[in-house]
Amino acid sequence: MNLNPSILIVDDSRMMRDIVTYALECAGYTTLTQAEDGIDALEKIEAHPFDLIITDINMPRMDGIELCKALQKNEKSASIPIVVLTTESSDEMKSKGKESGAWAWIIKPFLPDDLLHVVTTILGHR
Amino acid sequence: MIVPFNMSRFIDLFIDESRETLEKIEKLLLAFEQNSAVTAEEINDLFRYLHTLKGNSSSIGFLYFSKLAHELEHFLDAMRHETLIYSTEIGESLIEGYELLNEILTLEIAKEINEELFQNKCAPHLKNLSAYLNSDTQKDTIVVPNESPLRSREGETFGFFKKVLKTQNSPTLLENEPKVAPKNSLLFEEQPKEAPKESRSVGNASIRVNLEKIDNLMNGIGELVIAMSMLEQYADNLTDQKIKNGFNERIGFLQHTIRDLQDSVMSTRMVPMEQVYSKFPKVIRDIAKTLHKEILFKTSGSEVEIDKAMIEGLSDPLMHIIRNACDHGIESSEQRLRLGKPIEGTIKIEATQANEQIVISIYDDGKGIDTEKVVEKAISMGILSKERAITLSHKEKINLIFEPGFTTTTDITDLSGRGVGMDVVRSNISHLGGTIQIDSTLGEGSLFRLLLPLTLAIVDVLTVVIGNSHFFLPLSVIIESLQPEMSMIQSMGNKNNEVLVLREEAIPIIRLHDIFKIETSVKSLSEGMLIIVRYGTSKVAIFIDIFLNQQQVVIKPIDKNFKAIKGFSGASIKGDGSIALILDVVAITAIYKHNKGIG
Repeated sequence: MNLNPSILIVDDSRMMRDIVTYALECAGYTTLTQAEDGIDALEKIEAHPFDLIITDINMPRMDGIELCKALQKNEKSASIPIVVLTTESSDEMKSKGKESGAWAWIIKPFLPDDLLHVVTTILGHR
Repeated sequence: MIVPFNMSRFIDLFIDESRETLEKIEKLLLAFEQNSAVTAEEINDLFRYLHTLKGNSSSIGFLYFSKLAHELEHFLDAMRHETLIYSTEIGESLIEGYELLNEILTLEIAKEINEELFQNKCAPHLKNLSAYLNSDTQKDTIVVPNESPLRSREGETFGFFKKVLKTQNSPTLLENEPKVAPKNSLLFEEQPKEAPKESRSVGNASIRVNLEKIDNLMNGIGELVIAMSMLEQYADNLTDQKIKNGFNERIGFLQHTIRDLQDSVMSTRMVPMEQVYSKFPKVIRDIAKTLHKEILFKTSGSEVEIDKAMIEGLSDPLMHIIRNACDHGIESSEQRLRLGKPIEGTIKIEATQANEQIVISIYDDGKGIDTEKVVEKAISMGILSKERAITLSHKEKINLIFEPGFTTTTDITDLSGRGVGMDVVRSNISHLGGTIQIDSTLGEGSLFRLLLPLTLAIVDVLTVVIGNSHFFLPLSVIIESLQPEMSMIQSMGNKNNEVLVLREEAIPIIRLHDIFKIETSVKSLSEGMLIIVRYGTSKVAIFIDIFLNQQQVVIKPIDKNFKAIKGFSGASIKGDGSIALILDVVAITAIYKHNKGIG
């Protein structure tokens, strides 16, 4: 098991990325990378392996759902767990997320504890 | 009380980001209006911006703002799904919505928002919006959750799509980490520890830095520049030529390094002109609407970079010039039609960088400045005598509008207003170390050109001497210097005004020792030096004893206790550690005119 998992945080809002980064840093995670949309995320995943991806859905250029689908298509990235972090709480969003291959969802605004619970559960499972 | 997560540290970032997003929204809405149409992509972008505003503001606890963004997002959703088609009317409503967002954000930041105020401001507008949606449930009030959605939200806040085995003790994977936090560790009242800084993010291309930190860095470099010139002075006093040469060689290297360092710090302070431009489209649109004019706004050079500190001082003067152009420059549609001009007036702003200077030009194709009217007004105000008026050149006539209190418009609109005149614009520009020039042709339009230094922090100066005093004169204003012959000097008027006649141009001579009442043995013009400097679009010749070296100095603001002393734009430290004041040509000319009873 990886003792220092590397996590990619994808959100078009700088503040949101920093909040997620901060919450994870406070829990002891140190290998954290940020990407500002799906395209940026794909480039970073291509260059560097990640143990977990936390992504927003609504983003310019490539949204979170498209990102999940793109990662599923590629053998190299298909096994990386993805958590969607979004303001949308509709069932439609949930089914879309599930279909596109996400592992878990969290609704914004989120409780840091919820985020950590989801992250540790998934990483612990791996 | 347990506070869920300390969000306060993100508020500044939230405000910055929200303002940026609001600017993007403004741009889009103005484009909608201009094109009288929208594309699906634009609607999507607008929806996403509102969505981001909603999500971020609810995270930070700005619930009124979040609610308003939510309502507008809901409206956009209907447009996104084409149940609502864009019309000019809807465009107007969206712009009103945008204005409300700005207003509510400001109130949230000031913590001045409450339920009643919010309802008063937003409910009527949102009611209008919901009328478009044909909904049966038209709301008279909007419900804002009065508690953070973090706690009041119903239903699940997270869940798993895949069956993930629950480990008994979830944080086990981090058991070797010293920073392991027990569950609930993030529920605290105060932030107990600094977030770890090491090995943060692998591939971040940029970081956000507080401007103050960069200013501190710049100050440090300023001190280095001063220490540098102290060393240079010290080297001058060395008698052993061999040691002196070796010393100077190393100083040269140090100088080079400081220059490079200064350039890189400078570049971190630079922001694109885009930031200045972005404010204007909305202002011009609003003015055009109020005055029933059609105005096309064009920009170029939005990528040209300018010192961030300069933007603040530049905004007001530029806004004033642009408002003037809309208000007094561009004619009404009917007038333009009658004159055979395109119905749509054009205002163009352009920025270029050349020779360590930023040049900003504002051009309008309006009615231009009526110099005869300007002269008439100047005479009636007592600024100008009739005899003098005849001798004035076209440029000199235009420059009369820089006289304090000058205005030619008889009907005062509340747009550019009264009170703040072009004299204030010029003195603001002069405080930035810049100059302003105007060119105008009656019936064709006007061109305002601002020449600004690249930075506010460091300036190249010439050291000038009067009696025992040393002053710094910014090189940017100097045109030339000369030792005059008596044949070049003439007296004008009955007040014994001396002028320098140079290449058929009469330049007023300002004796600096008179202005500052300094004792000096150099009283005859032929014994001293005249430095010809730019003053607006005209020139003045400053009389000094002698000038010494050129150097770079760091501008230090003058303490407010000394603000009453006129004639200086700042102070700096000389190589020997003593202080010298930096001369402000505009202020000096004003003192001169006051003393001579001109204007």
